[in-house]
Amino acid sequence: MPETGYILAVCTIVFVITLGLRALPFAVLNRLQDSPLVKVLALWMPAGVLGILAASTLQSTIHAEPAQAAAAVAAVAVTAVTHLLGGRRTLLSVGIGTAAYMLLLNAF
Amino acid sequence: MKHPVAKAYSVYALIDEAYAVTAASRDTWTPWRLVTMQLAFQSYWVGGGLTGVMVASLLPDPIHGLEFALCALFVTLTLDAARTRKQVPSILLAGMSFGLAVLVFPGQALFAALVLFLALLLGRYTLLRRTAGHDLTPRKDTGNA
Repeated sequence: MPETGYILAVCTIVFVITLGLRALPFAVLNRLQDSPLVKVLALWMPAGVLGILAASTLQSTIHAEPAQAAAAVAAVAVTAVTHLLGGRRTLLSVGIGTAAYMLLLNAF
Repeated sequence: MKHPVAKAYSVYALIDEAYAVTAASRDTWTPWRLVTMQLAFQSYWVGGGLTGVMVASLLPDPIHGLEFALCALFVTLTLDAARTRKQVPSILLAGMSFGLAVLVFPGQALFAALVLFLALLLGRYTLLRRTAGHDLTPRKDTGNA
């Protein structure tokens, strides 16, 4: 168990970095709001960043259970199909996708 | 936002959800409402975390495969963000970034992929601007983020 002083020091550092990162947009954003580059990036970035996060979480899922890579890929397909055909209900798609993965994991 | 404590707290409580909710309806926010919303978000977050810890401590074993929920969530969010054909180049560039990142920086793939993606988008911007007279300012109908 680490000492109290150590924990406090870590908390202080985390707090300062968090606050700094969240104060930054206030300082920068006003000046950038009219930049065409920022406007275009706001349009281009979300889909790509989310795609990268999806790929990355899929990769760590496969990494944790390398023998079940096919199950993970199939569960992604189940999630996507449910989302597109089920009227884009996030809770439903995530629930069915996760259930499919757990089922495939335990079935084989 | 006038009160210094409220201001400081709001800087601290600037999370994705707070930004998304306020940016969606810009004009209806009073300082009181903002602080209340941020307090609500923080209590959902902390409360949800504590509930999770409690439920998990009651379970005898970790439930196998439940961690896939995060991946599934990002799959649905990606599908929601990419509804038009105009988003296809972004998705392709993102795929290239991640593929390259996995090959070149396997230990830091996520971070490397995000940096690469930004670099590719900057390249795309420069390229489009050079092909003369291209109006890059987004029109209202293309905003679907």
